[in-house]
Amino acid sequence: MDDNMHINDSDEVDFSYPEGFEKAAKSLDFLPDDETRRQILLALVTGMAMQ
Amino acid sequence: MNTEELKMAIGDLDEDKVQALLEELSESGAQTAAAALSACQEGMEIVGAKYESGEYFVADLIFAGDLMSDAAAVIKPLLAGEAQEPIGKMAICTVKGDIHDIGKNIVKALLEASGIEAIDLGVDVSPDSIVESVKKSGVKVLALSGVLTLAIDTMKQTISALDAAGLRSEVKVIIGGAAVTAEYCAYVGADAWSLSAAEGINICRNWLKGV
Amino acid sequence: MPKLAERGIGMDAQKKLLERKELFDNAIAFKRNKRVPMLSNFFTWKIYDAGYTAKEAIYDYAVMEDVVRQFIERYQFDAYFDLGTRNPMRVTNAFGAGRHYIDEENDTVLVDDHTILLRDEYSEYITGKNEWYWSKGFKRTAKPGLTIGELKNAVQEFLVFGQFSEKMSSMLSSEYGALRTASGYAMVPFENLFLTLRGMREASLDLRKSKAEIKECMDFMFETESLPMLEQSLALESNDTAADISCAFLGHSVLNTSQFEEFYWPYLKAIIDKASAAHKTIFIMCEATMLRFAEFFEDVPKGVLFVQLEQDDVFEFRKRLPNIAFTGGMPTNLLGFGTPEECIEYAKRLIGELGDGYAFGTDKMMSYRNDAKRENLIAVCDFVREYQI
Repeated sequence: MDDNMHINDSDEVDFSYPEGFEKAAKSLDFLPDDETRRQILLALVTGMAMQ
Repeated sequence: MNTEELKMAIGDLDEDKVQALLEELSESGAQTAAAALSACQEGMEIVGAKYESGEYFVADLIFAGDLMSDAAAVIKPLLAGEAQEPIGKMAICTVKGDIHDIGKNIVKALLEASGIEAIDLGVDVSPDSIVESVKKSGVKVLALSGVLTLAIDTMKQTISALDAAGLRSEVKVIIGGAAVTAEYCAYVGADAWSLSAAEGINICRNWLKGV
Repeated sequence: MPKLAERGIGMDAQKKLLERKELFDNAIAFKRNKRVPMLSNFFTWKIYDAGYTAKEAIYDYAVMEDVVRQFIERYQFDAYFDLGTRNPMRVTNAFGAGRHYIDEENDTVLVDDHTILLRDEYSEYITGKNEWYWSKGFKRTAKPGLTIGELKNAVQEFLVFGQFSEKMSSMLSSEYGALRTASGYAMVPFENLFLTLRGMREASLDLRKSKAEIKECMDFMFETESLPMLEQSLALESNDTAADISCAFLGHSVLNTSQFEEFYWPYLKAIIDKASAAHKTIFIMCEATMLRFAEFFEDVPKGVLFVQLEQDDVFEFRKRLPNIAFTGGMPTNLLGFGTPEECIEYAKRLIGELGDGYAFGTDKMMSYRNDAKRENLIAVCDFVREYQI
């Protein structure tokens, strides 16, 4: 994943995998690092989203 | 087509066999189609008996409802005036405030399989809408379903609304669904209650036959 | 996990926690208690009791905290199943509709039976679970055209919800000296299909239409999801919970006996065996009846299971399965439509006949206004708390 890739809040979420997932995770810039971003996003997607 | 085999296949919930037998039907006449429909209905009685004996449970009834609907969709266009007279007609719905429809749909499928015309009023149906439908259709039997305890109050309101409309003495009311108990039946003022689809259908059938 | 005092729990609350923990330990092990412990199975009912609408409480965590505090202070149960965290709609609404929604006219929370995993996607789930979740499962639950900004907001709501859940748990133990139900979690794979991925109707059909696929998927889920979750749970301490591990028992409600034997029991038995070997207890939240499958539970060692019963006759249950401790039995129709005296009389019978191996509780999840009257619940809770066995 290109670290310089620009992600706008108005972009639609890309549901391709792993590219779209990585891009969405990368956008979570309020989380400390990439691994945390992936884990939190995955927790949302596999847990909360299935509620 | 062997109607006995069809009956047993429905009773055994053997979808592949039911489909294979129904494929043979397309070249048959209306009389054979009528016999096939009867066989399916008898097969559903086997399903009901297996439920009563504890061999089948809810997942099986959901499956049986679909199997019967699919079979009826194949058979009914072939009947051409050979349709059987229903035992009678009644209305069924899930009452206002509740949206659970799986139990209601199982009961509806079993009612139709047992030769009763079941008018499905849907889910989340208000007392006023139910009274209107009862008036319009002239049904003498009404089944109210509810899974939430909240539904108990709506059932009571529905029966009060029937009373206020002067229909209560003409219409038998049965309540069903996970929320229902003997105590709630008394509180609601219904004529009967059941947690078992098969038992509920027997009660309705007896009412419609005037037993 | 730090010891109680290190977690900021004051002496009074700490004393209460220890007493309450002992009450549940004894009840689960069928040891004599001086009084019967009380477990709250109250969910959205407490919102209405506190004078709010479902919408007001569910979307505002300060209001929900007030709801939970009022409930704890008014009824003083020893353990709580729900702390206002059951319906995280702020999170689910942030990215899509979710299955739960509020019926504003009736002021209730309803849940749809819906399908996220399609019947022909079992193998996809097995071969690339995360890919399936992202590209299919999440896509289906998210609103159409979900933007990155909305997703970021949803993740932030998710984090806020996590903080709220932690705050409520900590408040319960540190301020009120009361227990949660369990610290860990175990999952029977069929529940995952029944409750979330396939839904009640489709999961029911799969048992006949896709028997091999559903079994293969459940084996996969058990190995890759249930067992790791169980191992983690077994390692947790449970000094502020009634039991060690909680386990939902809901999907059995559609199964016939042979389906239960094939698709459900092997997994649940493995969970019970592992917990038993580790000297841990399991709180089973049972919907509908358990007695229909009594024969399977006959050999479970005493002191392992603690079941929240719903539709079973509790007196019959005690005779049929004397090895299993439980809570439940207080009829909703009495709490909702009876008098305080009738409620107390019934509670006295429950305690008198069930005694050891019993924790006081209601016969269903309390969700609606008419499930209980405040004066009935106060009367019965005050009575049970003071009643010596």
